[in-house]
Amino acid sequence: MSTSNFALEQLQLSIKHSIQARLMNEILPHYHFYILALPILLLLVGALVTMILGVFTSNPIKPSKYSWYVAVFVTFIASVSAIVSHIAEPIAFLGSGVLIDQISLLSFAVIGMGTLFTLLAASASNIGQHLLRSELLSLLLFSSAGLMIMCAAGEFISFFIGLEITSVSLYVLVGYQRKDLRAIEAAVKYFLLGATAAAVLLMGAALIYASIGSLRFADFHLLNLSAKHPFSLLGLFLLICGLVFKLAIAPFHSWAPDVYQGANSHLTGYMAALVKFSVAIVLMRILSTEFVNGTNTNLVTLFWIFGVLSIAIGSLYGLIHNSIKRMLAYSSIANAGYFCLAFASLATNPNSLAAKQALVSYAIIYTVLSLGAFTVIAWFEDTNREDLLKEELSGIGAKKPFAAFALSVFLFGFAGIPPVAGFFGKFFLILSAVNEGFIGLSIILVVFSAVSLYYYLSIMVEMWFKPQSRYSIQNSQSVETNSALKTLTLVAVIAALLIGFLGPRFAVNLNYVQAVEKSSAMVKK
Amino acid sequence: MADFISHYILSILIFFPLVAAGVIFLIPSKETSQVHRNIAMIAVVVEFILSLHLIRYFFSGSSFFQFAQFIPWLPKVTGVNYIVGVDGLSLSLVLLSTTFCMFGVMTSYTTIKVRSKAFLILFLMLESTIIGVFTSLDVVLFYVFWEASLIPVYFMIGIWGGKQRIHATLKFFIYGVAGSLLMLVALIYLYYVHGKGTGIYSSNILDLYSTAANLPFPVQSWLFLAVTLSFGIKVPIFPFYSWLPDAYEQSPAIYTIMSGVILKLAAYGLIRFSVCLFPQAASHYATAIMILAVIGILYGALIAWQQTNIRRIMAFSSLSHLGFIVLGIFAFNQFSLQGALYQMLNHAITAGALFILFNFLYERRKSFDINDFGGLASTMPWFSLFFIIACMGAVALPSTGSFVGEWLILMGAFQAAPIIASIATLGVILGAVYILWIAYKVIFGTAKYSENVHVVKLRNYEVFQLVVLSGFIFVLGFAATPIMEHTQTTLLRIEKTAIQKISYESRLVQSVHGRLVPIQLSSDAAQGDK
Repeated sequence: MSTSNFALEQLQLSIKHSIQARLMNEILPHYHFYILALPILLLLVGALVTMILGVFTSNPIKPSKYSWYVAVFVTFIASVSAIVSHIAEPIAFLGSGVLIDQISLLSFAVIGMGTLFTLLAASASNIGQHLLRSELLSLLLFSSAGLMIMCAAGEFISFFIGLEITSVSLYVLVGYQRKDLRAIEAAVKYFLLGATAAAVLLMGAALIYASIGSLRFADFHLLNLSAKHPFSLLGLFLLICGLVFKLAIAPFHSWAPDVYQGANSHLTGYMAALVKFSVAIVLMRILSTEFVNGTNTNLVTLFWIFGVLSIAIGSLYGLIHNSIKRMLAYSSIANAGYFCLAFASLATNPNSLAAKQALVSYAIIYTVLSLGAFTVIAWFEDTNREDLLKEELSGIGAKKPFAAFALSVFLFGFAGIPPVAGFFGKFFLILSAVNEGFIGLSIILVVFSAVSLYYYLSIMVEMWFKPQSRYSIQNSQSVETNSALKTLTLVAVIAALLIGFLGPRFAVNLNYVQAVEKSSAMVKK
Repeated sequence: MADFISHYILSILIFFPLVAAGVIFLIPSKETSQVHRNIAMIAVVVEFILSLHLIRYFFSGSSFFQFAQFIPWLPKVTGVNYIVGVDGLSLSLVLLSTTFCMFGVMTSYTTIKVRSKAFLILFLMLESTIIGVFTSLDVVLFYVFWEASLIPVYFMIGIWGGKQRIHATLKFFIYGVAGSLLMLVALIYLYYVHGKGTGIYSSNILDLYSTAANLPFPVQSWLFLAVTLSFGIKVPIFPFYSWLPDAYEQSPAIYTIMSGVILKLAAYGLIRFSVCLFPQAASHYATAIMILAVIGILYGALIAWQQTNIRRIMAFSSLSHLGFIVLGIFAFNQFSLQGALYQMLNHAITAGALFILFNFLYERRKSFDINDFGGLASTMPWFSLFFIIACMGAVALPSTGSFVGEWLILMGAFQAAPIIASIATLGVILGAVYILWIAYKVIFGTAKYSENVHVVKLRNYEVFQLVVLSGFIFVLGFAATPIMEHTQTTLLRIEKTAIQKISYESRLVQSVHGRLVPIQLSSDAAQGDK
């Protein structure tokens, strides 16, 4: 009796010890975590601080200076800490919740700098001033923190939390102009479709959990994607569909033109650049797992179809639109389609270094170009009505040569013409696709990028080759007096050209080893 | 010292115009842009003088790429590097470009009246990309320069062009990019196959030559077709010419003077890439392309005869003349290749001279219609003299350079394909018909219009340009040997490649104390370490 009692006590004690040990060693984060995940934590704290500061402002409609200072300060520190922090080898914290590897650190840096750029640009233009209310700044910081959480996530739950923080913030940010019908339409559309996408995503996750009993990306290799295991296949398909919705890949693209058009231009740039960047990183993490042997064909087909549809729709629909932001929205759909080349290559060969390099370099290049292009658009919209038409840019090259020059650089970048950065983006994408034998997809890419070139060029035609007409935007300042926007645009132009001249070194030299949880044997094989 | 300059000369030639463009950019524009023009002028003259270094120190007995320079560019694993060098093929084309850029800037003094600062910057960028295309020996670098050369031209035609300029420039740009994107896929595929085959990625064209020539025939022919389509659009080869008349008609005067050189970019690409990379496929498709070239020759000449707009006549005449060059390239023997290269120079010179003369007429009369002129021989004797010289150059009269070129091409083509060559000979006659027709309409006849009676002198710089070009027309007609000596060894090797269907072999060399020494490639060094 006593011996059995003793044994039971022993057992309880050892279980307690092991739980404690696991809690201390593996689940509760080491202090390193607080240093390495500093960007996320800083942004979250910053968001709370700006929110509290908002309580003390007298007029909530007016931009809040102090909140802006706080926001700029935290994003600056966050990006600096992401750039300087160095890790010897990839580490996973909170189970697989936060993976700190070079991919995450690079994403932190990109997201931090992108947010900083957006904040600075918004403060410099009149339309951007609307974004500088305390609560909106707080939402923007939350959204960036969410993006960082997404990029660092190694399992579904933390990824989903990040995604939702971002999405919910963005729904509100898109619709902040309560009196503007277009903004409301954009926000409602974005919200309804986004919520549906989130539901699809969750359904996919549920099915995946049902089939393998784990939601860690590292365990996805257990998924058997043949038609005999419908739950696995359908689960992953739904998960991917939910994700590509955020990338605005056709056939899940229909929200993009309306949202891009309705949202504040600075915000559009932020969404086009950083949200796409982060989702691309997440998809890269998911797709770098090797699924059960030889059953990837379905996935490849899926990305093939997505890629072709997106590239074709983005390139062709852009031709018929007149609104600059709508055109750029279709351009972003086409560009999202280009990502599918890398996704398809990655799905074929999860270890393909070329595909990962292509994905990361294109994501970053696209981020730079989008942020730059939408900043210039905001500059044009300044003191004019929002949502410019193509004709309203006629003759702007003579009036604002620098802004027109910058926009031309970014448009050449989208079109992939060297020496602007976009060329190397396309170069590596085609290389990765050719590596895995997707020559047809590469040819579709190049044929349609020649088509889409037409609308990029037509914007430039208006800016440079046509004289001013009575439709062209009336700007009270005849010369470019907005030196802050000029500087910021110059930064983006230099970045675009520098990447174009030197190649995307950051992506080629990156260490693509992902962090792995220490005791990942929770699921039996 | 000479060795030291030789080491860096090509990079200097590529980047010096860019530096000059940067200087011009930094000088604020005033009412007149005289300062900018003077700086640009100095820059192109210095560039020309620098390019003379190439002739002085070029070893004519070698087919290797001389003055080569290797600088790591992208990260090492990608094997994409900055590699430049010239051989007999590109040497004369580089000199041709620097010469014509000089003429171009001279012309800008009077023809560009608005936004001249921007124009000069674009022009210098164009010069730099043209030289880049002719000298780069890395396919990625080549592609960057090739595409980048479209951008300045796009803006030049779009901003300073004629009434229909927007249509023309969009057509020009989209035709160009559509073709070259297919080339990009082909080159990337080649790069990938090389990387997969050898385990080391490299976009050095010398490495790719050996890989490409050993590919199975179906693959080779697809790649060949993609690359040739891209160059064929820009040459242009027969069915892809429709951008050319529009671009010529609408472009500013300077572009037309340069156009002879710009079309040669693609002709150069045909030899360097289409033929040398894929000799097997090239010889398989040679007959088809020669037939297209002959159609181009005859069609271009006939259409040119029927046009009344001078610029369009020049466009179709270029189609016809470039047809001869393509015929020469794809006849694959030493004579025809020599003739093709020679004809590249001749066409640039005669077309340049004719354009200078026509632009002068246009400035006076604001008209491109040949019916608006006539009787200029009595009012402007000097003008007419130069006009007739340029026309004779274009007709390929014996004693002009074109005669030598066309004769060599046809002689070579007869050896390769007698029937095609004999049909092409008709092109020589038709060429004479339309050129003489223009000469008759413009120079001779009665002066119908009073505007034509007033005597206007040629400007000094125009006299200079025309004297130099007319001189060249005859010099090339009599003294072909020195030029051919420089090109012969390279062309012999190309002939060997094309006939024996083996890979083109060459090396990157640098002169050290009067001897050619292969340069160290850092990628080779890395290979040695392993």
